[in-house]
Amino acid sequence: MKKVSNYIVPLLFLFFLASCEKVVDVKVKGAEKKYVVEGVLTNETGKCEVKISQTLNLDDDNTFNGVSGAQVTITDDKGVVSTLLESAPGIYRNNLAGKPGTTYTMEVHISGNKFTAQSTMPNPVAIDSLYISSMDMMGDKTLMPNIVFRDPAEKGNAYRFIQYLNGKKSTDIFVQNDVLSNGRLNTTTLFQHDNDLKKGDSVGVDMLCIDNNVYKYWFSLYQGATGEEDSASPANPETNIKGGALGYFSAHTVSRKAVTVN
Amino acid sequence: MSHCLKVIKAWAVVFFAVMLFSQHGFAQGRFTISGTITSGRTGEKLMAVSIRVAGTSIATASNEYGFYALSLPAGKHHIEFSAVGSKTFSLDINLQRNTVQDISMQSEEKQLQDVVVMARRGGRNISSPQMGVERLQIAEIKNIPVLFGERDVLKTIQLLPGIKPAAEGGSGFYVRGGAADQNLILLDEAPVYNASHLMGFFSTFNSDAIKDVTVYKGGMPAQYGGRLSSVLDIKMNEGNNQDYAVSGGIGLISSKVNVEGPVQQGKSSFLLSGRRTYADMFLKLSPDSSINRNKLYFYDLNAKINYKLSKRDHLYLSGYFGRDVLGVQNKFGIDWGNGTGTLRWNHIFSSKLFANTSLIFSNYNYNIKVRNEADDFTIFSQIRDWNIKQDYQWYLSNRSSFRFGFNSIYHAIRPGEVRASDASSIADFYLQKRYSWENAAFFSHSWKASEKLNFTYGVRLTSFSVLGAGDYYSVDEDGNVTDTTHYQRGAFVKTYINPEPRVAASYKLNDRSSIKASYVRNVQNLHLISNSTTSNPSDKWVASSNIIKPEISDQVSVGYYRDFADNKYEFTLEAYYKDMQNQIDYRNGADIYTNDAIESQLLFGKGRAYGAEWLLKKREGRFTGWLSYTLSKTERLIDGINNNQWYNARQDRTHDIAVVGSYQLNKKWTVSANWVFSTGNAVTYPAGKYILDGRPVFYYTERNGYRLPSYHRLDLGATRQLKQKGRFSSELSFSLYNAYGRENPFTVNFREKEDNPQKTEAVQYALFKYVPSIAYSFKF
Repeated sequence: MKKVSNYIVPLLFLFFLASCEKVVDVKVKGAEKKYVVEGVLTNETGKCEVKISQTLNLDDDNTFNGVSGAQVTITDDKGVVSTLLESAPGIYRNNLAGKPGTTYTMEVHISGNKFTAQSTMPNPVAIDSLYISSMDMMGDKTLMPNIVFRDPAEKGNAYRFIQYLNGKKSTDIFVQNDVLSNGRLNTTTLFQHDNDLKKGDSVGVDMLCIDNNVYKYWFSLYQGATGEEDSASPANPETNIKGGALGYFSAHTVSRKAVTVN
Repeated sequence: MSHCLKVIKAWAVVFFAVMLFSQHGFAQGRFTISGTITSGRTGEKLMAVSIRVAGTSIATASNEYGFYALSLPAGKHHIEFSAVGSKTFSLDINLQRNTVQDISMQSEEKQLQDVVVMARRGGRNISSPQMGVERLQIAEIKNIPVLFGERDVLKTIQLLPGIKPAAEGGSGFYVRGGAADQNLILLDEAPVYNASHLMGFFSTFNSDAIKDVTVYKGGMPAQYGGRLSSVLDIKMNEGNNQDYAVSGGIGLISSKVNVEGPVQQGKSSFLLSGRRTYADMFLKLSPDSSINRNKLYFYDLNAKINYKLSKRDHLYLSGYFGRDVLGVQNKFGIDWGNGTGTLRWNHIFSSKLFANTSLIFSNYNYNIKVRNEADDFTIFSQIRDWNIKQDYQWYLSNRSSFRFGFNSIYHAIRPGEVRASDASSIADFYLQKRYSWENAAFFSHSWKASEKLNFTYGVRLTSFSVLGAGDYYSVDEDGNVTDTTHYQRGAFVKTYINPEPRVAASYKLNDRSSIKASYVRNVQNLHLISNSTTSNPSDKWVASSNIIKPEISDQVSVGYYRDFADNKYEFTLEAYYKDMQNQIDYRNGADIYTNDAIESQLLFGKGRAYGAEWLLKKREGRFTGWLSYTLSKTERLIDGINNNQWYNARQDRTHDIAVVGSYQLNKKWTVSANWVFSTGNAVTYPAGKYILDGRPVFYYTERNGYRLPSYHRLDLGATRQLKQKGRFSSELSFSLYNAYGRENPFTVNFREKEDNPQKTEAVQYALFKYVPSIAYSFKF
């Protein structure tokens, strides 16, 4: 249904031109600090990373405030334990590369807290092609990247797309599952919210094959916690971490492609 | 099948009990005068005409089909009939037998310009136990300034106490803490499932086609049921059976035309009314093909025919069809709309027994078409009702009247069907069709216990049966499906039976004031699942199921009513407390569009609402208008939301004020203004933030813990009568919405500061600042 709002919202705003925007001063009650754990394990070597931080006050700088001194391990379903070591404050790394089909358990111990999460690395799906198309939207020609891939025959696949524009990672969230498109040749268009693609730009896309709990995390983050949506009820995303931390743990595969706009 | 028989049997017992009870004796030496009251000018039936017998306290009112009945002792009587906009009609009669006396009331409204007087002569019915009700006639709302100059009953009722707009400029509304889907909106008895056009900025009710609007906020009469918080009963015009008439209007946003006239003089008539908006005509002016090929419009068609079969029988056939069409070139399109049809048969059995049978059809659906790079598909969804309603009104005596009947509705819901071309990324996809059967028997007795004390009491007994075919699920507390059971076509999956008591009493303190109290239970079996702040055509209706239980509300209310200054002013004070069970909300991260087991995406809980409402109204004179104030509280408690604590519902607005006034300067000019103030919506703001995947993400600790800034707005209007030529009269209306340009926040969002992405800023969006409009209307 997000696809629908991609069209309706600009059309309505065109119609009701009177809409106006203003920065306002809002005082919010603070909250107790909460741990944030973002655990990532991919099928590539050297990309296993767990970031641990704490929540910030709303008027703080948007800076990652890593928390040091945690014990972080990732264990596979055969009981093989890999320990992640702190490489920078709050950033814990290991050279572990995950194997598709394996369920991994992340365990974090910090200041008496224990956070655990499980994620199963799906089988990899590769991007067949990436191309740029143009679409007329309200008088503007908008350029958008399209990713073509074949969804596997079995149900239950989910994807997350990360877009890079001239090497810079975009903050737009693109997730998709195969409920409506199982087993088909998929073309996914990445609708641009803030970016304006121009000739000569290089566009890169990472396609992550994620498990369904991670899909749910990103889907609910997109729906409710980015501060942008007109959702009637913003809320924290649905995490797969047990023990009371924000964040997620995702074991996923990665497929990449890049293209230059011409 | 035995289950089905049981349900039918239960109804039969109730029905015969009611009939049996109706058989007991008639008073001696009294006769009944009865008949139908019509407008002399148009021949349309007049409802709620006040009928008083001079020198006695005997009074009654015509019903919604213009029928009245009075039992009087034999002898001479002087009876006065009075109604809004009509000259009082006096009847002297020497009653020696049961008499049928049809009444034709002469209109006071000579021309368009003279619609200022809107008094119910002799004041309102302070002795009736009915409370929580407001009735508006289109003439009354004519001068109220509105957004885009488009008169709209749904927007006007939001100026009444206890009724609040769901969103700025929108037609969605909340009544006494209820959600937008808890209003039963009836157009000629047919439920309208989506009463809004263009994301809610307009309602589906073309004011030219409408005669009368009654809204019940509490104490709903037993013949109504199916929604928790209100009943909005909208009656379409019948059409003039005396003469042909054409009226119409041209506005910035829409044009409309209305044709009516006799089919057979004095016996039958027709009405055809159409409206179309043309916002997209402006788009067509653009030379750019990516703009001029967009579509954005809606239209409404109302049609009605009525036919007098005999002195005792009258048939009415009415229909509505409306559609919104929105399209971005040929890449994307959505259209949605309602269709309703009502066939009614009024039959007068005797001077004391009036019956109406209605066959009602109601349909809402939407189509979405997407054709772009990757996709070529359509999405279709529909809710459709077949409905039969039988309603008897029995005027036993002047102290006692009964109303009873039954209602049976078959609901068929198609929650979502995707059809895609082979080349599409997505495949065909069908959510299961859902079927249900809703039955109700109702009975109520209005009893004048003494000169001062009146009662209306009754019960509505409803059953709701969830029918196969289909899969039904068991869901654990985390929303996972644990079991699936398949039911055959027509099988009863689950039946909910609920008695809904309806009790009201009034006590007349003196000729000008009274106090009233009521208790009402309402049950709702169709629920709208919506997470959006605006009305969305793809909001989803779901029926009660094995897991989704009927929503139940219990409301008690008390009130004080007083008329002042020769009934020119009326004052109302009502207070209510409402308890709501089985309320529904989304699970976080819910996906309601691709899930057959919709229950796995929902959370359940309860609600409570209480408040007090003040209304001071001036109905007569050159200046008319009202002052309304509501003080209220609305809370929810849903398992899994706000740490399982009570929280303010979005529609909780502590203070709500409306001042509405209209003044006739002279024959040519009428000016009007309204001012509204309300506490800002309860909204959720973040308590903090954190960095995730290189971007700030907001951290929430509570639901609706903050308030948007207060909302206030002034609207101005003026109407100028133009020169009249023969039968042709016309007028120009000007309006200015949000006259002092208050930027009322629609939403407040949080984002990174543009010039300093290290910092977070809050941004408010306001929708309408100074919206002027002009409209021309005519009549001949």
